[in-house]
Amino acid sequence: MKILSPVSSLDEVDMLVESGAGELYCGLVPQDWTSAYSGALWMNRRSPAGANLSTYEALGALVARAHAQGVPVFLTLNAPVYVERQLPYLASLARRAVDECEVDALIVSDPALLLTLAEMGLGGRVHVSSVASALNTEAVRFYQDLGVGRVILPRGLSLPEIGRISAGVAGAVPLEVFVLNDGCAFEEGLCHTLHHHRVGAFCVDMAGWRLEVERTDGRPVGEDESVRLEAHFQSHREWIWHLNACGSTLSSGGVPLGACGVCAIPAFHQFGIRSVKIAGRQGSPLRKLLGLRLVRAVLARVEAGARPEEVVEWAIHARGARATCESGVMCYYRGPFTMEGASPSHEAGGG
Amino acid sequence: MDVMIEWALALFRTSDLADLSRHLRFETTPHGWLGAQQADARAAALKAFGPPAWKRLYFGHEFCERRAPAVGDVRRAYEAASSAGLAFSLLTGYVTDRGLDRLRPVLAWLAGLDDLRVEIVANDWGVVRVVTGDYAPLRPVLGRLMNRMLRDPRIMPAFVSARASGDALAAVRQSSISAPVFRRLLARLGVERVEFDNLIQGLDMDFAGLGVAASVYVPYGYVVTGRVCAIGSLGRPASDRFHVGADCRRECQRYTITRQASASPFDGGHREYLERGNTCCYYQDPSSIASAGEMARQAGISRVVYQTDLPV
Repeated sequence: MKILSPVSSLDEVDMLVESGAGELYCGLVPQDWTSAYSGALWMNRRSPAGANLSTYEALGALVARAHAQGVPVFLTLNAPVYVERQLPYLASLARRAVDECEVDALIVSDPALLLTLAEMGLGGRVHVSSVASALNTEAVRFYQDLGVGRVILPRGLSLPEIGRISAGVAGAVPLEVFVLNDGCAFEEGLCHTLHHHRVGAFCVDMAGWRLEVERTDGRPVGEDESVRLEAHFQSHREWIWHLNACGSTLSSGGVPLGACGVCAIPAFHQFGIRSVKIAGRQGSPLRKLLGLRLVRAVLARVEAGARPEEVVEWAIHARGARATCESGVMCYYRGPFTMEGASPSHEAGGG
Repeated sequence: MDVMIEWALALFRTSDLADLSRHLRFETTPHGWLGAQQADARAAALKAFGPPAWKRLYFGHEFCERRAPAVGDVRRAYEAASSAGLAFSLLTGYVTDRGLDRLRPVLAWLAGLDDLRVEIVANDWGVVRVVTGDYAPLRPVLGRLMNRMLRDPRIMPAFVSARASGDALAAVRQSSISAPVFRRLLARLGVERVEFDNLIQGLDMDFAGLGVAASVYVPYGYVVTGRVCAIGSLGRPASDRFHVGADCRRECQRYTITRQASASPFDGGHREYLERGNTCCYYQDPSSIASAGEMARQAGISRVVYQTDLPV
């Protein structure tokens, strides 16, 4: 199982590869795109500023550096939607990225772009983005039918659900899952807004808005009920804060806090997941490094044959935030993390 | 563009079926502020689209697989629609494998009816694959969740201001449907209809020219949805809140939450979001619905899907 790390500059490549990144992914947003769309309409899921490269030369140099160390590089083209007038530009960008810069794969969510790339003979180089919301085995097979090279499963799946998909596709198409950073309060592909710098992420922004509650049965909200609801909304705000990197803080163990799935690595290993993804192209080099080291250390224990319980205990210790970890508030995937608990026969229940 | 616009009524709860005839006459009204909104929206919709030519009942759930109706509920809905002289469309959502397990018997029952007017509104490519692969007599429709267009009222002023890029506005008024390569895929899958929310920025597509039928949903559009249901964690221990596996007690059916975003950095305006369960929606005010009527005529939209309540 590989670790897929974000990278946003040539300077980060050696550090990340030496620290255990088996694959890298990055973004490219040429200035002409930004000029055309005034920065409001992003080419991929990150702002043009900070998280993306801006020239083919920079991309080519980054890829060459990674390839020299045997590490492939993937390029994000994963806006939720592109329209007809954008496709020729994106097709040209993809062609140059593959042919000139030697990018190994393209991370795509929009089916029109995916089909365009397939017609160009690049279908096998497409990794279906989590933004495509492949939440079930049949959705993964849908993309498999289109000839893609990998499917990235959304964060909003439980471990048993991932296990069932993995068993269902039986390795016919490689799967990738999230393991660290940047939680989503909603389903990423069904969040139809932007993380625009002037308003911020919807989920974060909404936590600060004035709210009113009305009962659907027309009865007034009682006094005790109102208190209970307000405590609940406060709890929700705190959850959102935890998903969003806990205000960019570090634990006492020196590890960046925020959304995390490292305790699930033993299960992913058992499921045959091809790659675990660290989110956060926009993060600082230090944040990228510290996160990668944590994931690498956990994966090393798994590969050395440690029992899942031991791995989880070690991961919680390494995180340096035991109470927060045990509350589950930062978890992409809630426990149990033992093989029995993570098996597809223990799917999350519902009402 | 002169396309006859048919009306479809969307109902999301089995309990609503008993009142179908009252819903069709616009005689039902939700409690509280939603009721006031409905009164305005209905008047605006009548003005925009003309007297309701009801042709079809939409029934089911787009946003939560736990709310997906079982075979018995769908049978009741289908029979109620038939009694009212309406064709039937099953609304389906984004689903896990468990959701697909629950959907299959419903699809099997509908396929067994041999009613060529039955539509399956699919909001998940897995559902599309199952419908087209295993229940071929059923007609898949590409639901509004499959159109990944921007629809956040906070953001739209950034695209429509005088300083905004014309290219950006043009792009957010179209979807993947504009691409021939995507329409060819839809044709292969037997998808002949695509559906949209009534977007603030409008739609700039000529559906007749594109060769697909189109629907528009009023008076609620959705902005975000996800598997974690915030209100569903009400009263749970801290360690059991805000995750996809939390048990559901249908708290979504108990509360409607209005969130008010104030002082937009783009235009200073206030925006209101209606949250129920795992989904935040926006309300299309009368001027927006009036625009939808005009847009429908220009773009060749042939169906308005009217929601008498929030779609959750």
